[in-house]
Amino acid sequence: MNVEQDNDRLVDAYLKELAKAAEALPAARRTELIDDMKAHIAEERAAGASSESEIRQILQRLGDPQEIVAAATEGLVLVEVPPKLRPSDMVALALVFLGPYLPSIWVPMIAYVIGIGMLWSSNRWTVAWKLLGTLNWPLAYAVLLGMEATIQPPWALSITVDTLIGVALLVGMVLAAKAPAKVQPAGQAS
Amino acid sequence: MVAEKVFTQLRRGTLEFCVLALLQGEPRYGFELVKALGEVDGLVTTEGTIYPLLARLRREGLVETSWRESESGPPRRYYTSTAEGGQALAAFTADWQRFCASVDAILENGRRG
Repeated sequence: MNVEQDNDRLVDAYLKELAKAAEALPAARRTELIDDMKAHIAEERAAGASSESEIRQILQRLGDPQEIVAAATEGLVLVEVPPKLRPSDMVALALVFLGPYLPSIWVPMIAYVIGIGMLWSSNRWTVAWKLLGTLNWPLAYAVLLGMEATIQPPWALSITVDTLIGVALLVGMVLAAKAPAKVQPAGQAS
Repeated sequence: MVAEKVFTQLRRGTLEFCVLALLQGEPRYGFELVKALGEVDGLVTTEGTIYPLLARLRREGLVETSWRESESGPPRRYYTSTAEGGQALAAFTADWQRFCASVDAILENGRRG
């Protein structure tokens, strides 16, 4: 019973590593490859492999996931799928960075929340950048409040600092946007 | 092993024709095919790479697949060679034999010096 669970865990870890290595494959190929591997391991186990060392041997014979995926990418080239920013990503940035300047109270709030939702559902940024984008409004606000409490700057300076923070973050996010790498048949690359 | 790199390349190049050869008669399912190849000395080092190879042969129209029920467990994907697969194998076999003969002849001559 316990051995079964340990074996399941070994197999799951292997399949997880394979799935990660296969991320760049076109979806249909990735699914087929993983299904084939699952079926193979199930056949081995049905044929009597039950001890931990037997399971390890099976996985070792199957080979390094990287190597298997490399075999699946033959005839494919790695290409970055353009564009870096899709229209939805630009809308997300606009809502997050310009939303707070919209008139009234509820409009900026709603725009900001929708923008954050779009930002986090996009695959163009790392978590760190998404976090920075999300914190833009509170961050700029905190800086302004801090300045207000300490040096009491003129209104124009406050606006300038606020704008600079926003613009710097916006430029950073536009530059940091990255389309996920995908592989596809060599002929279709261009 | 001597010339490991060379044999890695050779294996990569010839394995698909070994697969085609095994698929000329009865259809075989993936696991069965992998095991049959694995029993041959020095041919397969990583069993897992045979599955992407089978997928490619199917995309190229050299093998075709069908699902069949198994007595135990879920249905299995069976592979069999198409006519194109048979032709590709025949062409390769002729070239391979000529190639082997040439290499053997040179190696023999070289040894006699």
